[in-house]
Parts: sequence; C-alpha cells; structure tokens
Amino acid sequence: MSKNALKEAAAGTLESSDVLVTITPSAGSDVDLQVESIVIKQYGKRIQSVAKEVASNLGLSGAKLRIQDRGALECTLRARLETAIERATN
Amino acid sequence: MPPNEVLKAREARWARRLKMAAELNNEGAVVTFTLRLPFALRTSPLYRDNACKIFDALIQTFTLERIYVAAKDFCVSPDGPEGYAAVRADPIQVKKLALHVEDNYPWGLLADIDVMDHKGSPIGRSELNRQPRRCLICSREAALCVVERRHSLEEIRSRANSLFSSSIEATAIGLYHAHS
Repeated sequence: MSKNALKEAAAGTLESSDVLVTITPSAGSDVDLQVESIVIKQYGKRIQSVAKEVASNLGLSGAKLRIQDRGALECTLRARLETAIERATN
Repeated sequence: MPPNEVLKAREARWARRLKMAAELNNEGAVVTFTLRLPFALRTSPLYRDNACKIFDALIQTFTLERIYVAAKDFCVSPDGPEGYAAVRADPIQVKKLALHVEDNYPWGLLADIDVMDHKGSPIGRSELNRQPRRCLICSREAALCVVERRHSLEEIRSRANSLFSSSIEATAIGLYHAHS
C-alpha cells in the first residue's frame, strides 16, 4: 500500500554520528532521493540502498527525501528514515 | 542500536541548540559539549563526573581566551552528559578554539565540541577547510571507524581511562599559555 507524503517532516540532527532525514511532498508518485554524507565516497551507495529499501518497505510515494549524514550507524539511519516517513505520512 | 529514547534525546538537544541560537540576538555562538565515546561508554555513570570536569575546563578555556560565556548548563540525558554554552564571540573564532582543544589536549580528545551560529547553522571542520577528525585509537578518519565499528569497547574504554586520568586543570592552563 503506498503512502503519499502529506507534509514536510524531519527526523534526526546534524550532530556527529547522527543523520538528518527531511521529507518534502512532491507531485507524482516517485521518491526523489538526495544524499549528502561525510563518508560519501565509502558509504554513499550503501546509504542510498538503505533509504530506497526503507522507503519501499513503508510504501512512501510522492516525496523528496533528503539525507544529510554525519557518519551515523546504519541502524540509526534506518530509525531516522522510519520516523521521518511516519511523521510525513500521518 | 541506540534506543528510541536516545534518538529522541538527541533531537531534543538539537532543538535546544536551535532555540539558544535564536536567542543570541544576532551575534555570538552556541557551543555544545558531549563525550566522544560509543553510546555504552558515554552513558556510563562512571564517566559522568569526568564529563562535568571536561565541560568546566572548556568553559575555563573560553574565559582565559577572553570569550565571554553568557550562559551555561550541564546535564545528563538518555544520550549521556551534555554541556551547553552561549558565548559572545565570532562563531569562526570559537570553532577554531574548539578544534585546537579537540586535537591537542588529552581531555579535548574525549570531547565533541559543536558550534552553531546565531542563524542555527553548524560550523564544522569542512567550513574551516580542516581535515576530518582522527580516531581516538588509530590515525584513520574517526567517522569511518565509527561506522565500521572498527575498535572494540574494551580498546576504547582503556584509551578513555588513560585520557581521563590526565590532569584536566593543568592542561587548561597549558592551553592558555600556548595560545597567548
């Protein structure tokens, strides 16, 4: 079941070892992903992959998904993505 | 995996920083201090007193450098000890001093000192064209070691204990003379 982003929402912070996930509603059904990371060379692809997986699992649609990573653990990234999507779709 | 209450505590700290920045009257900087340790060590009650001493040394360092501290607070959240300070100085100057402390002093190696300007924008190493921070244990980029969980808790605990045992008061005074 797909869930459209209804409002702008965010989860996380820009502190060291954390990640800020921001979701903005957009027209259409696609999820437009933008990733910035202090370890982009080594982990950029992994962050993208996790973001796409979580967004797909939760049925996110019609959204711009911006990830500003400050070296967060993968479990923290997943938790922040889930919280941001929850906040944006309810 | 940090529990949900820890992630919420980090968001609360971020919100508090933004609020303090908005209250700066368009000048100055907000400084926050946390321990640069994994969650399991950072939240240990054994390190709470040491964290408070490090924050006090940081405030003393600002004062010795003639940076006026308008407000300060130290508390403990589910994410561990945290210190807050509103200072009346150019944020770039404050961040340069913070980087000097982080990179050169035993107690500074254990500190994460974040600086935010009155607009709520963080001032990071990259904004000052500085190299990424080095790991506490090895010489690699610290962020990579964190994400890869490269070092064991025991390794980090041992290193932290040896750094905590350094004289905080002596190094704060040493910093003053080095910067004068």
